[in-house]
Amino acid sequence: MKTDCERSWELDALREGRLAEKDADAFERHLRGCAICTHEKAFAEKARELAKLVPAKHPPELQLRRIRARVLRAAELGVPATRREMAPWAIAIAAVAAAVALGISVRRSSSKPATMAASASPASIEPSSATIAEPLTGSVQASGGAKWRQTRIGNIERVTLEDGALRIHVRHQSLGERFFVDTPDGVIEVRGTTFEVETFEGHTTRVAVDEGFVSWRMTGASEVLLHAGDSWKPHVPALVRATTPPPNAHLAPATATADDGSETYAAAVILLNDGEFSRAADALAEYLAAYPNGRDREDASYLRAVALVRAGHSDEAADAAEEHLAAYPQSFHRKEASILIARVARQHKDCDKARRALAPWLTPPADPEAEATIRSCAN
Amino acid sequence: MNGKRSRAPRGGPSRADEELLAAIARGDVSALGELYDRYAQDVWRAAHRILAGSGDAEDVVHTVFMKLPEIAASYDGRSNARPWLVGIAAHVAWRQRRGNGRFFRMLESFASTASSAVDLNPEREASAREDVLQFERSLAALSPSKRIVFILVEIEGLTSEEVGRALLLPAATVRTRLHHARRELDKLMSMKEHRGENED
Repeated sequence: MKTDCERSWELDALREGRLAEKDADAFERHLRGCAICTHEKAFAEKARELAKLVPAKHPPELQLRRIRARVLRAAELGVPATRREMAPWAIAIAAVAAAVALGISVRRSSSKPATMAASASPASIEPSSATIAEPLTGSVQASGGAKWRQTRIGNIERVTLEDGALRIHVRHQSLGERFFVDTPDGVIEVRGTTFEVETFEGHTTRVAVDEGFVSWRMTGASEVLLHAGDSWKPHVPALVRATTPPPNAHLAPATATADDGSETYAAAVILLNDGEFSRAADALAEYLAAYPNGRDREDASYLRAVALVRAGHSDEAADAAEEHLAAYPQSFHRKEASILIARVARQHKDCDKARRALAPWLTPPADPEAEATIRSCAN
Repeated sequence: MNGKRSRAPRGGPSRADEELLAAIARGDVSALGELYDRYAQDVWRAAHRILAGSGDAEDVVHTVFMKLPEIAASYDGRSNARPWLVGIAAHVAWRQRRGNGRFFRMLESFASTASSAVDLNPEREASAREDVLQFERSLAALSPSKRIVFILVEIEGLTSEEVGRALLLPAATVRTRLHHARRELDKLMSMKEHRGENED
């Protein structure tokens, strides 16, 4: 008895209005004669109804009031203040969430956050011959003696400033393009703007924006958006730290960095979402190479295989999926990666390999998707 | 459950979500309070469902609203901010869970508490109660990646694009997972029904 229908995928597309009128009519005709799709449609409706009946727990009122007080107090101070130290994951995740939102949404706000310092006069930067090499999407003027360099990985451009001052003009970034300026103690994300950044003895001492806006994240601090006319300077204690090395400075680790690759990963996912599969695969490979301890490596490793298969490089995709499973045997994506390997093996009529890849999901009760993959291989 | 909220604050006209977020981006603390009052419960409930009552929904709500002044400028201007906020909460909760390894413990706790969590009206039919219980148990038995997608789409009312943005997944992957989540739920619920019939 037939237990699967290839067209059942179209149920959601029909419900969400993603099918063209002609396709919708054709699928509705199919639906009238297909017991499997009719059953799946009925179950989807039943599941939706049952989901609505799952009782919602009420949040403790006092808890919500406590959080509210903390959040508003922190906002009034202009600095996030936490009841307990925010875990590194929370900082990284929020940065990723912001990056994703920035990357996908319409950039419509030109407002200034209240945490900005008053506008300061721009620093004097001597024009120099340090115009940056292609393919930088802008231009750089450096102060005399400034130490800086530029790199590009895929669509991600980075200028690293070790010491001195730079005036940077970056053209508006297209979707998927990212431009970062790394300072010894923070990172600036640029989205088409002209601005200046100064560092001194391992500390950022000033960021000033002439046009557009930048996002500035100092290591261990929260992100600050700087718009045209805004400038940022460290608070007094930070200035003291900047000019007075601690007694045990020679024991301190070299320059710390807040960049765990989250932005790079987010940019790669945006490419994938935009259907730029080859570029996404490249960007994900670059992320995996550049961030050996990145938090998103497991997902990136799997999504690289997805990007490759969608780009039409199925053999490379299968290799990538095998690498993923070797690196993350308990991966959340292990079934999907195994199915990908099996499907590529099926294309090569290698049903034994497909079966081996899916073995963990074929023991009773077998997984329906794994079964369907093998069944079509046998056919 | 998923509709737009329009809870007007006492003593003043209600500002639209996009106005509030624009004001928050400008550093307006009262706007942050207003948006918090409007959506904190929704964010808490979404986090609680995703974390299955592991007690960290408080941290998620705290993180989401603490970060709002910094990310509000990136809001895309749609009239209802709920999916955006729930998406950020899902991202935070998902990463938190994966980061500290409590994921499987959480699933177990969800499965064991599912029956006690149901609080139906007494007059509701026994069969409906049983259906919901069975549904909850089956939902708890889904793989984590499918379960979160099902919760976000079918319970929280996010679109597959919104879930994709929240979990950093392609929207098509979200749809695939949702499709398989339903199939597995169907299978699990059918198995339990048959088991029940045999027991009878």
